[in-house]
Amino acid sequence: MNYRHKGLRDGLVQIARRCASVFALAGVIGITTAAFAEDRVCVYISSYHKGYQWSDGLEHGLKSKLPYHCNVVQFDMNTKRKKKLYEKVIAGKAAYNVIKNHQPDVVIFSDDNAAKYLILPHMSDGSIPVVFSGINWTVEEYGFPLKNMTGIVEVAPIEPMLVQASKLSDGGFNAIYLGADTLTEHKNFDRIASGALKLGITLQARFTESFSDWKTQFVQSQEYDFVIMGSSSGIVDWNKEAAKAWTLAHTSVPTLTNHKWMMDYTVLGYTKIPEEHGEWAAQSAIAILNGVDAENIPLVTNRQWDLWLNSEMADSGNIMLAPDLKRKAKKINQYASE
Amino acid sequence: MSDAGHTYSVREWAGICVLTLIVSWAVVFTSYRTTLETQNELFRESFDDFTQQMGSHVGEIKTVLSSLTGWHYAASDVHNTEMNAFAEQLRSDRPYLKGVGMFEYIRHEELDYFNTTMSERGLYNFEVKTLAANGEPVSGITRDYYLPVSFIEPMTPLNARILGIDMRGLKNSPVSRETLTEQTAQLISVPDGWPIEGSLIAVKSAYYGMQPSTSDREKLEQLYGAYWVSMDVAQMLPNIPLLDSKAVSVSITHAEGETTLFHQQSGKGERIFFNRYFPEQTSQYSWAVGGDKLKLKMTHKPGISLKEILVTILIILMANLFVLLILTLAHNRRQAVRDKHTHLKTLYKERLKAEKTLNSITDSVLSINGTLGITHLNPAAMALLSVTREQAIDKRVTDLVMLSTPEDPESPFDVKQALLDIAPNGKHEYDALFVNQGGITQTLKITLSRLQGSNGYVAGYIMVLRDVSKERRLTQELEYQATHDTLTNCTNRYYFEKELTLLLEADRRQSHEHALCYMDLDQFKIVNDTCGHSAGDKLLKELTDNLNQIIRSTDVLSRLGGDEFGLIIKDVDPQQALKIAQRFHQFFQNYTFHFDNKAFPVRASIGLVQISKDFNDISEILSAADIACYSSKDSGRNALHVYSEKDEKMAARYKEMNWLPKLQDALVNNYFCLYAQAIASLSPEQSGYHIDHYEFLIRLIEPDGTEVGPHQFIQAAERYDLMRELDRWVIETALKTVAGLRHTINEDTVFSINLSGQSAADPTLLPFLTEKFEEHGVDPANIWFELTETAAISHFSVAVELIEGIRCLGAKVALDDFGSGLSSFGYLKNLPVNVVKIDGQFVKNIDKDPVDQEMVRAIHHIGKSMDIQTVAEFVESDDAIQVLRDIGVDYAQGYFIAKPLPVDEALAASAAMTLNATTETLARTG
Repeated sequence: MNYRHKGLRDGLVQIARRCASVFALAGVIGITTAAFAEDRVCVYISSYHKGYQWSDGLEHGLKSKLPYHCNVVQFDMNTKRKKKLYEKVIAGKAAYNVIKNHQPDVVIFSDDNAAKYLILPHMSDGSIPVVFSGINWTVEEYGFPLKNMTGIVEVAPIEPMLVQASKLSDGGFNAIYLGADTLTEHKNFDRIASGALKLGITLQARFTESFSDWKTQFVQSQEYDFVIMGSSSGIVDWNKEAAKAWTLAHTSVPTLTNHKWMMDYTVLGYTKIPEEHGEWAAQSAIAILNGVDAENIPLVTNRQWDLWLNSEMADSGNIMLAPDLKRKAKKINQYASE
Repeated sequence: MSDAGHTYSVREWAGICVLTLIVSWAVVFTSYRTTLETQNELFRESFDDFTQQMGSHVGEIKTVLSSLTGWHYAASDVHNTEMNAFAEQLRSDRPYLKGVGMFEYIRHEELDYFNTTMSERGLYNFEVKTLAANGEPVSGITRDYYLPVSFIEPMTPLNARILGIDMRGLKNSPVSRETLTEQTAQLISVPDGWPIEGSLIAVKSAYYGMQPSTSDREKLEQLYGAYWVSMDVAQMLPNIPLLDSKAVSVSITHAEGETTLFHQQSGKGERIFFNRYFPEQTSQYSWAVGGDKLKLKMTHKPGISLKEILVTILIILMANLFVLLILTLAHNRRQAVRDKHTHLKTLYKERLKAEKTLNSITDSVLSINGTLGITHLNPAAMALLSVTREQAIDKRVTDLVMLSTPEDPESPFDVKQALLDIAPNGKHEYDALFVNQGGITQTLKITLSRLQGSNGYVAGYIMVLRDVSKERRLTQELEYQATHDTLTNCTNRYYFEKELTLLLEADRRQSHEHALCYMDLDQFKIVNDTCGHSAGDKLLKELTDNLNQIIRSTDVLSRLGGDEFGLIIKDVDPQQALKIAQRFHQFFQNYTFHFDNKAFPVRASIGLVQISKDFNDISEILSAADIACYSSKDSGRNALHVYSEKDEKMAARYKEMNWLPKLQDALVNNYFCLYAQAIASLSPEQSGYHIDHYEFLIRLIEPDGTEVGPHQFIQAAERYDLMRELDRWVIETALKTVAGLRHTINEDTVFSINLSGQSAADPTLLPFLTEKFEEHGVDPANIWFELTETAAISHFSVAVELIEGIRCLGAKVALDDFGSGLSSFGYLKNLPVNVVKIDGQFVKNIDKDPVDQEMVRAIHHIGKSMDIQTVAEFVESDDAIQVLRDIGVDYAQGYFIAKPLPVDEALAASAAMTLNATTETLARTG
């Protein structure tokens, strides 16, 4: 048809025009963004430190979106290493000083210690919009959301994990939770137990303070239909290699965990994705910078998770896994270097 | 085509233009008609394509909704995570699909349970709300049932606000449980505040259970809610080129046209429509989505874009211009042919005229071709060469024109080489000798020109031969007259100086030595005065002939003036030159001129100068010769004097000569000034003296500001007759100065002005003085004129007249330097002077030398006896003043009293001196 030739020519003209428009628009946006980015400040307070896997992931997600909209000032409270209460309080005060000095347009913080030692004592008046991320399970204990606050709550994918555990143990309902004797682990257990109850699964718990006791408890846990592996953080004499060897030698029932770092000792893992939290927090902060009231952004929980498989552990324990599960799970050894 | 002589009239030109325009417009109109018909056809095809592609997108929407509901019925439980993945997949390759979501049907009594469940799913503080127009959720609504959004994909912090929003409460939203159950699907225009991109929402109901009931009541009971998708209709539009051309209006509406989802107006400003001939076309189409419809309306207005029209006009103009250009070129071509014809005619006439001119001129003209063959010659040439045209044509010019060089008549002039030497289009001129058939040698001026062909080669030559024999002869005669003395036939001063200049220049380049001999006949005037000028002329002719016999052939003898001769002696050292000069001197010792039985021994004063490189120009050489000759005269005439720089007399003479230009320059430019030296009045009653008299003294101002006293230049001024002018300058300036001092000095103050011997002999001086006294209003009684004894004696009779005249005017006359002459007293008796200024030689040591005292006393006594006042010069001490006062001398002058100073300073110094002297006197007397 004649018009197709004309269309080709016109199309080329249009492409050229649009390219010019896009470049011009990109230029304007670039200039505008750069101008806004120079003017606006976002303070990001991390409860932990650089090198901590969860914090790094969350920070990565955050910074993949945010720097184009504001100048990001980061402060790490480093409370994973600061065990003393007064050290955490001082870290909270230091973080608040950073915020005071920079007078940011929005504050983003991650994880519970920032909520406890920064937000509650210093920033509960809502004068600066706050976006939180990485707070475990619930925000009710902090009375969140406060005025001028939004965020994303960190929940572990309990239900799919428990459903899968039940499947692997042929509908087993008698399970045990094994973790360090810490407050966090107790909280985690409560949440998982509550979820298990809804599925008709009875979940008992063993909390240990020493590696030797943990090893003993692990051997004993093999008596149950499946084992939920809590975190070893808090077991002071934890020995990675020994734990790995120990679990390889003694795993005989399905072991499952919500912690990525426990995958060396566990068959299956259902783990949260820290980047999802960082990205959501960044998008919320951008919406606030663009004029949306923080209170009009609903509090949400994470919706994504990763499925991990330790094939060596599964083979060693003679745990029979469905072929589709083997294919869709990420292999822990394959990504060991990550 | 018209004949070659035809030119278009204005009317024809206009007709051609109009015709061209009509033809152009006819072509354009036909082209436009075809274009517009094509456009209509294109529109119809485009509309079909558009509806087809748009329909495909509408079908996709239906498919997506069906997929969502199908998945709903298939899944036993709706899980958010799985639904996220499913919705994301649906959106992945449908860019116009901006959001996928779900809202649920919740009865009021189920509200709390619903809120709690949603909170537990991770939406903390979930609450059913309504959406305000500004997009902010508003809580606290109470209704009998709600349709809250419970799922959204993609979920972002901005989109998340939609969660919990009751779709029933949205503005203009037709969604209700009734519409959900009555219609399988429906369309909603995006309400105000809707946070998800897109302009249209498509909704499809979903029910609990695997199969929805057919009964409305049961359907209401089983109603789960609905799945919806949000779309951007603009992005659903197919990419049809005609849309981009803006020739088409597109409108997409829904709800029976009440809501416009997309509208594009055709670009009116850019096109010109021809509605009368090509009316607009409208096509419509609609797609059913459940109970609703999407309607498409497309209108096309065929037209031509402004740009195309402008291009068309441009093409027409260019076509017209092209036609005009072609016609103009054709016209110019014809004109060129006519012009060429006319030019040829003119050229023929010009050629005839040129031939006639050539034939009529007296110069011989030959045309020569590149191989030197003669192609044409005029009658003058034929006459000159004594040949006929036939004999000359095609003959080589070198065979016909036999010439020789003027410098050496035996040497042939190379015509061929001369022709070859001419530069392209150049012209050379030569003089050559030609012996005609009668054997007479003619001097010819040959002008050779080279004709350049267009290809750069030699086209030929023109040779013009002019007989300049007469002119050459005349020139030679004039030249001879200019360089020779008509009386003696020897060379004149002009030739002599020219030759000397050439010699000096050559001398600088070479190391040859030459000499110049200057001869001035002694007492030549006697011959003229005794026997008349004819005798003088004869003497000069005879003398010249004799001198020519004793000079060398290489030397140059010239008559430089009346009785002055110069001889340039070439290539001689000083000894040789002296020998030749001595030969001359010897000649004059024996030479006697006889005329009218009278014998006149002829002698000469001779100056000899060896020409060296020290002389800058000939004037210096001539000056040196003059000085040497003058020295000969000074030494008693009939002598030979050789110039030497070391000779003191000559040096003085030379110095004088150097003063001449300076003095002339100073007179012209007023480089003189006056000084004044005080003269003291000596009163026998007083021991001091009183200043009431000044002598004006001249100073010359050098270019560097140095002031030079008169003793340095007066001699030169006298020698070169400049004293009259110098005296007049002094008189004029002095009287002017005195007039200017009228109100600052005593009225009886006297000023002396010196007069030279030359002025004394000047009969016009007295009238000059009379005029100047009147002009400046100076009382002559205040002026003394000083005349030196020598000057007065030299011009005695005239001087007496002048002195008497001056005295008649009322001024006084002083005899200066009295006593320096041999017979001073004798002359004094006959000179009517008022004052005698006693020469300084008698005064300088008067306080020590009794002879001097007596000499001065004698002069004073004689003066007194003649009623002449006396002035003593060179007074150098107080003792001298005292002696002079004792003698009775009236005035004293000298450095002891005052040195010469600029007039103002001299007056000021005298006033101070008088004051001191008065004070001293008062002190002594007091």
